[in-house]
Amino acid sequence: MKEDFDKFLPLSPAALHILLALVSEDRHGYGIMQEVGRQSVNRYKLGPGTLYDNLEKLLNQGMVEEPTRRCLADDPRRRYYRLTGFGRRLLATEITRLEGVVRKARSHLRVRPEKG
Amino acid sequence: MMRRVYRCLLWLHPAAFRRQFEEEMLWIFDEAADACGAAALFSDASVSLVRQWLLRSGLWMWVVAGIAGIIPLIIAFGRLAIRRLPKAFARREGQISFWIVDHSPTIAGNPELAESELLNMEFARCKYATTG
Repeated sequence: MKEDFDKFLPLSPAALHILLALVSEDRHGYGIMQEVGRQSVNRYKLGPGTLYDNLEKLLNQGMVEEPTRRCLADDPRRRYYRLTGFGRRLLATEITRLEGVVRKARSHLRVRPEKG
Repeated sequence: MMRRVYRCLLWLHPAAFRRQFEEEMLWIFDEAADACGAAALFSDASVSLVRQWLLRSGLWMWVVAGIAGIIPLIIAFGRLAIRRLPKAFARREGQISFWIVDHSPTIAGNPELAESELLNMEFARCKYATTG
């Protein structure tokens, strides 16, 4: 069955960055904030309020979940978040959409793609 | 002290959001206050507070409903005020009639004075009618 992603797209910048931060591994809130800063070379700073507002939405929409297994040595206040299969497919669809936008923009602006 | 203020800001958030994320947000404050700066975290929490109450809790619907309810009331009161103008005008006319009845002995005794008084009242009435 084909999934309908249309009602979730386009993703907000915060949601896009959060999902991207969770692609490689499960992370806690502060870890997501740091990863977003690293990925955007500190151009996009995510505060805890924005982070948890978006995480709440992503959890409700089934794009992100909380893994049940936790490391015992961890601070009990830390909660980890994981990208679901649905979230991963949605992110891939959004990246394809953004690639189309970038291609279109480049052809209009006559900018050559960077190599490497 | 800073932590207490931040905790107060979190405490003002809707209960459902607070239950789910308060402890974690406090933990992030402990970890990130030095690196990010407490001011940035305070402003983020303040924006979050407004967003949670206005957008996520459905309070905006009450605000819109309130405004939508007040506008017809303002229009209705405005119309009522406009309708009262002709009534005031009629009252003025009535005052002239009463004055004539009350001052009928004076009119009989001193018709010139009565005429000047009446002219003054008529002048006031015309002025009222033109200025509205």
